[in-house]
Amino acid sequence: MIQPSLALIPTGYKDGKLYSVLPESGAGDFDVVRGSGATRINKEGLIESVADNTPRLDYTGGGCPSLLLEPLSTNLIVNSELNNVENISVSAVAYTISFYGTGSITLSGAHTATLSGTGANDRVTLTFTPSAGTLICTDSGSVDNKQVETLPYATSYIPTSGQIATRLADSVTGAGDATTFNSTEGVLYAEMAALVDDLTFRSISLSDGTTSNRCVLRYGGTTNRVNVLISSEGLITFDNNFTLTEITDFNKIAVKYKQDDFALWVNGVEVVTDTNGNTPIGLNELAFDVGDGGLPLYGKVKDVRVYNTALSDAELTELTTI
Amino acid sequence: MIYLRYEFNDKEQAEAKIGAFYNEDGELTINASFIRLGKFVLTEGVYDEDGVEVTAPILSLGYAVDVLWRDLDASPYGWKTYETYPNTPRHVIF
Repeated sequence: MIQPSLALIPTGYKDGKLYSVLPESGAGDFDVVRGSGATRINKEGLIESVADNTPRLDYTGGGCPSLLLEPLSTNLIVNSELNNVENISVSAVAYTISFYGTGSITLSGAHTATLSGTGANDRVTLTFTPSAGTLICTDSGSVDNKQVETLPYATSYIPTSGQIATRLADSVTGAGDATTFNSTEGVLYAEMAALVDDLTFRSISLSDGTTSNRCVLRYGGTTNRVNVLISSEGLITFDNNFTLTEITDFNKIAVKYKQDDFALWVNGVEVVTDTNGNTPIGLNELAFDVGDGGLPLYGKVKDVRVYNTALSDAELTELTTI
Repeated sequence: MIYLRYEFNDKEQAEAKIGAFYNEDGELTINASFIRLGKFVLTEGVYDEDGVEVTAPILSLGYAVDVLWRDLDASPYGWKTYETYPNTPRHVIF
């Protein structure tokens, strides 16, 4: 198979940069912005703090790391390392509580439940919707790294000590330039997983920096759906969906674009085609958003590639087969 | 870039203020991070050994929102009135 014009396999990084494997010139490196610290699971399986604007290569589950991209979230626990009782003012929306350890947290007041730990290095989580009011969280036994957040899933740990704390959202954009990509034909490929199936749109795009000319792979709209959207000079030329078995699992997804020849490939199978339409023009940026900075991808990414030729069916089968 | 704290009258007012910065596609139209904090627990409640409330917690009155305005150096129109400068902030950026 030919070599991609841009390849990201999350390995190398520094403050504000995520290095692409290709091109070797550095033109394919991503700009990373996150105006706060964050944590990740490191190679040893331990929680590790990461500085502002530093990408997170996360080893949750072991094996090769993935690039972790998360939304803003606030740990509503004031002292995440203390064994205590805390009150939290809550609304009637989804919250998720999580901790590590062998003890338990009993919820009372606005919601009644008990979450029991399973091990010092195991994280347990519970998503629930309380009634509006005051939620009382009472610890018992070994309870570490407590977190309560206003999301329907647990995100990476946000330590607190005396004040609640917020991790800001990850933004990874700006890879490539006009010489990196071919607007006439190509393939955008990603091996990625969503953090949750919450129907929000979360995107990877190859674009001209606007939504007028772009090739987008995105989650959202309908449960477990992946959508491909290609527009040329402001007109949508390829807009199709496919329902994955589970978007929170890693899937290998590729979109091929060429004049009057478009296709979406998922896990080794061509699932959608279109034989009519123009390709985008002026492609000059690969970003984890919809093309203009909006609808960013929140998920885990193991591999992203851009090819400057429309790969054959055999090549796309090989590329996307799990 | 500026980081400011606000206290609105209630959640509905806060959401209306924030919602004005989203377009019909649900995309944010300003370079900012809105951190919805709601009410703070100013004084923890007291509970007996069975978890029954003895003394209710004391909550802040308004609905708190912290905002990181990345392309501004002051509050946008309609927000300045709600700025607040607590002596002991109950929220920090990690």
